[in-house]
Amino acid sequence: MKNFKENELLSWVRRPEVDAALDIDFQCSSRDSFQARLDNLFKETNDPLLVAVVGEIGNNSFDHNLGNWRDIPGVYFKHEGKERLLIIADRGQGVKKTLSRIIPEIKTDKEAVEIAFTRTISGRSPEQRGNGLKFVAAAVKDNDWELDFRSGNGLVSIRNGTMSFDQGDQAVYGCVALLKY
Amino acid sequence: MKIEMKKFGKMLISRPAGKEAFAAAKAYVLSGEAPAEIVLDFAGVDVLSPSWADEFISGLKEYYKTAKIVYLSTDNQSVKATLAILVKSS
Repeated sequence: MKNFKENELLSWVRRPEVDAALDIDFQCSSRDSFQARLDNLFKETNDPLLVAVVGEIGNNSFDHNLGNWRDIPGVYFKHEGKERLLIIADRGQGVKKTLSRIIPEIKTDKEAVEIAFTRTISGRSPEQRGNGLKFVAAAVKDNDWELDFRSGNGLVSIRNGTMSFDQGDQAVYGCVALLKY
Repeated sequence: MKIEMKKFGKMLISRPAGKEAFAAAKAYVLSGEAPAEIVLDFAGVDVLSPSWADEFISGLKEYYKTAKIVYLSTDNQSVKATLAILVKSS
């Protein structure tokens, strides 16, 4: 991760309030602009599974936060081609708040992200949803990619085909995914 | 009945797009009477995601409650992985 400024990104998503996008050139404020970036990603990588995975993560942000963004609408999406790194971040409500509406007993962000990545359940129940992040996890594991996904204090890491969950010290306001392929 | 999924686009990714595709199919592709079998042919699709497929296939199952749905997969990894997870969770 030489060129990508991870600290800058984490600083942006760790602030309770921001008044500007991290970088307007990489902020997809609508689903249409995100779709256009996915079209480009497919041209750049010619990897259908990678595009489907990124599509699931980014579209999740729109599915669950439309009309309810914390401050900056949409998804920050950047492809660092040389580093084979994809960054997707949103300033939405986060996984715990979304899932708590149907599973009120969720106590921690770690528990919330663990449920999101392992159980077929969705914040938009009773609609039949909730396969997206399981699909992401399976694709990352099967292809030996690496994923760090943060929401609130919850952290999901997939390395060497193994998924683990942790509770971090500093909260993220929304969600951040770093995918190394 | 066979439906060529590429006719809905080559990048079948988001949930709203899947919902829109099913609405179009209902209006212009599907007939009123339920066929015994519906074949979904994914040849020529570049990218398929579970969200898009879930919206389209859930709509289809609701519309034709008795029809058997058959998936014609391809070598495309996103199609294979999406169909695998949908079959597993159904």
